[in-house]
Amino acid sequence: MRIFFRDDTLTISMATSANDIDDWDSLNHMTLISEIEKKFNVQFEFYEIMDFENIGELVNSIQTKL
Amino acid sequence: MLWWTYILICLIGFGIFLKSTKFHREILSIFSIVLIGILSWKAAVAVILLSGITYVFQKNKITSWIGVFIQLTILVYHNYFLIENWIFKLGISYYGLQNVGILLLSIRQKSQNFSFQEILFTNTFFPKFLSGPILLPKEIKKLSPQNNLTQSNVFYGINRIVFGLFKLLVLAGNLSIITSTVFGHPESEFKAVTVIIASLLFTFEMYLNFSGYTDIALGFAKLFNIDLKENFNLPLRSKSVSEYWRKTHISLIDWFTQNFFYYVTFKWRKSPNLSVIAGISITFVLSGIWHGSAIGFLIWGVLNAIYLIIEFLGKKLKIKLPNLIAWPMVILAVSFANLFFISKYWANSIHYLNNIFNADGWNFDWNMHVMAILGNGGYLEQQFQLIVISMLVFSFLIFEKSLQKKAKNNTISISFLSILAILIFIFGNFNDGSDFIYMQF
Repeated sequence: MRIFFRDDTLTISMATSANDIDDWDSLNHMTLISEIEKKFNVQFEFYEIMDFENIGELVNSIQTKL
Repeated sequence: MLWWTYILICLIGFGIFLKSTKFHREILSIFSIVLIGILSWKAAVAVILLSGITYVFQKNKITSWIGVFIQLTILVYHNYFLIENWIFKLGISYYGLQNVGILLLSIRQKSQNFSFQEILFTNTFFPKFLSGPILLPKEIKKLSPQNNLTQSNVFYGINRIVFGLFKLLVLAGNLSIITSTVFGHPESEFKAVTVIIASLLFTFEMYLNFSGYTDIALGFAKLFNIDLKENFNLPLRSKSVSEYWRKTHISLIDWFTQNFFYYVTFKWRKSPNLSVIAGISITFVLSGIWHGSAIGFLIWGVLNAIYLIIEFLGKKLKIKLPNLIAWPMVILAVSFANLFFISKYWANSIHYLNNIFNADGWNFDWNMHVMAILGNGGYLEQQFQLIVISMLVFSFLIFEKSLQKKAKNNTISISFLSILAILIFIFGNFNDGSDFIYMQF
């Protein structure tokens, strides 16, 4: 995440959401998703992504797919 | 109908609402439908009809497609063949999108089970019927009115409504007098500076008008213990166009983002940059068209898309402008796009552009070509009024952040409210200033 947003000071917890990170807007949301898909070799459904409220839910979803 | 009949109906409606122990949503829907019906009984029939269609058709994919088709046909018809006294004239641009949102969810994810009361309520709820905010399906689920008239809700509501009236009647209302001296006369010749100043002022006017309306809507909603979605978040302080669009007409942009932008970028996420560019283009062309059939709206959308794409590419190349340069550039760029928005038709836009880029346009006399025109006459008195209004607007925008904090407060500040009330009575433009610009869309 730190590499993606080019911000070394970023601290991320399971409750972090897009609202907490200034550069995480709709423009680079899918780029992030696509990076995660490549890195963990998983596939998301469209509405899964729409329903993610925070990092925790994203991580849970990745874990169930691995 | 006389104004006191409205007030009487409002009092009766509010009384019944407060007395009842259940069916709050239903009572409020009926009350809202009565209010809509007074404006136009046809609009009331239309909203019930389309809510019914959404309710019946949300069950499976095929019927949802039919539902989307019906709603979009009516929406397009509304925007492109504006007919006087047409049944779907009021509010359709706003509640139509909410209905389409529900149906698209049913098509793309799974069949939806919104109750008829839920759909009817979100479509008719009177503070938001005319100009939104537009809610997403998950936000519609959360709406539940209660007759919980606490002191803090009432204070919040009063603060917000007075604050909105001040923005609408004093600031936007008087700005509209100034900007209409230029944009109300597309046949006259103007100097470049005059058009540029008028475009900047129009950007302020549009924001103050629409956000003032939203303040009033949110204030009223709070009296029913409902927190409607915020539509603005100090957009005029943005240091990038993408920040500006995260903070302006949030509910509309959110709707397009959820339903189109994310969909496009998700489908083509294998090539992230191209998908974002395509997504931005589709989102802003559609939101341009949503405003109406005039070519100016389309150009407005395309220009905003171009700004966002340039910014997106600039970010990829790690170009970052200092705030002191970025901020005025954003305001100028947005105002330039708004010039097409306000002039609506191609011939008018070209005329104003000619005035700006004409070599003679920069050869001007400040008093004669700027003050006298924007002040609606050359007299000292009219120019004084122009200066007072401009100072009011600018000082408001400078202190907006702290003023807004006061407006969202749960406690009453007598000085805050009385100053706003006095300013409304002195400067309020009660004639045409109370028009909601966004009601026509």
